[in-house]
Amino acid sequence: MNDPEKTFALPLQWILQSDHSPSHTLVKWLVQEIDPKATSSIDSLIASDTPIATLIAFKDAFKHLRLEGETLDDQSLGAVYYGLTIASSIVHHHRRISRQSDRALEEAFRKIWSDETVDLRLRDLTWRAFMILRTAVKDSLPY
Amino acid sequence: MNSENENTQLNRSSNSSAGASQTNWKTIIDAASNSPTAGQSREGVARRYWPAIHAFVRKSGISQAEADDVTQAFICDVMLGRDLLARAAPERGRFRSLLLTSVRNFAIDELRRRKSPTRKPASGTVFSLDDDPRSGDQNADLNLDEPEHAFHAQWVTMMIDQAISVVREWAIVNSQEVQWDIFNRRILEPMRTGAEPISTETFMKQWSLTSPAQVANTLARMKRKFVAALMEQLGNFDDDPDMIHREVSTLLQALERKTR
Repeated sequence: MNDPEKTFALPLQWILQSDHSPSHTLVKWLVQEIDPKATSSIDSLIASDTPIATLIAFKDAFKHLRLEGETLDDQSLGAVYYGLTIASSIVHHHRRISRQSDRALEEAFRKIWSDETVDLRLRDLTWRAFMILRTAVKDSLPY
Repeated sequence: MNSENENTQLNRSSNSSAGASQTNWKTIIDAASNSPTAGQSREGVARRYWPAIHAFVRKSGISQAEADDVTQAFICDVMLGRDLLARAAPERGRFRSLLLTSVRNFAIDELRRRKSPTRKPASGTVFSLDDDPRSGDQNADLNLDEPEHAFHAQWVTMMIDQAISVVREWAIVNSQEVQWDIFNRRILEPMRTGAEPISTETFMKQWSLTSPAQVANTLARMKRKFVAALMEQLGNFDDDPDMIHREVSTLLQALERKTR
């Protein structure tokens, strides 16, 4: 049997961790499922030392959320974070983890940075990714 | 199935589940009424809160053998007899606080009554107090940290168990047995019993899943469902998440206070 104190406390702490937005809560827990050390979904994406393998796992999870999310909000947020993981890999690793064309990625990034509901740090990330793609030779970033 | 339907199902299942349905104010209010279902509601309320009351009584220094009688006396005399349920109302705050205060007062009265020499028959005491070091000092303030901790621990256990019942029932009703199995064996069982969490690879093999992303999404989604069910169990604060957070913080502090 586990320590009863921890058994009681853990689910209560989940409540305290939950955001007012159920979809943002889901994203936070999805990130923690993949990277238990992650403190927040935003920090994991803007951190330059998040390994590329972790970003790929995030991308796959968000892609699944985008397609299979329970609610439209879940799916929309899945799409945003899917784009953000790709942006993070371009900015921090100078690698693309998506086979989509530069044009498609630029369009996705443009959409995210113009979305004022997205955290400013994440919008900045997509702006930087956009500029890298813009200044690179077309479709030249390694996959 | 879309989310709205699923949420409706979740709410409906929580209200129809025999084990988990006795949670909310509606049941307490019904128990205090003269409705045709009041008797059933009273029984449900008594069954639901018995473990927490019993835990407090037992840790107050009353023997195991007598704790059942004292708990029953509290439920009959105070909860039902003195209309504690009728005094409880959502706008008056948390039922947990009201119940704890009542149990505390009842236990103090009971312990003092038992320690009173005028109550003792010539042959000696009627009750044993389980070697309670407080027994010899009638006027000493009772240290109720441990009983209160036991009450809160039992209270939270009850909430968690009922939230589990609600989510399990939701999974069955909505043909989400795979999702339930993944959540249960990866998170719930290790949390409750110390069992080894099942790996993502094992789940993928067992349930023919094609990607670890499916397992991660399932776990995050089921955790969200579980937390929603647990919040529902914690009280009718549906319109005010901050109230739930305050209640949770209070419970966590109460659980940490054991060795104060």
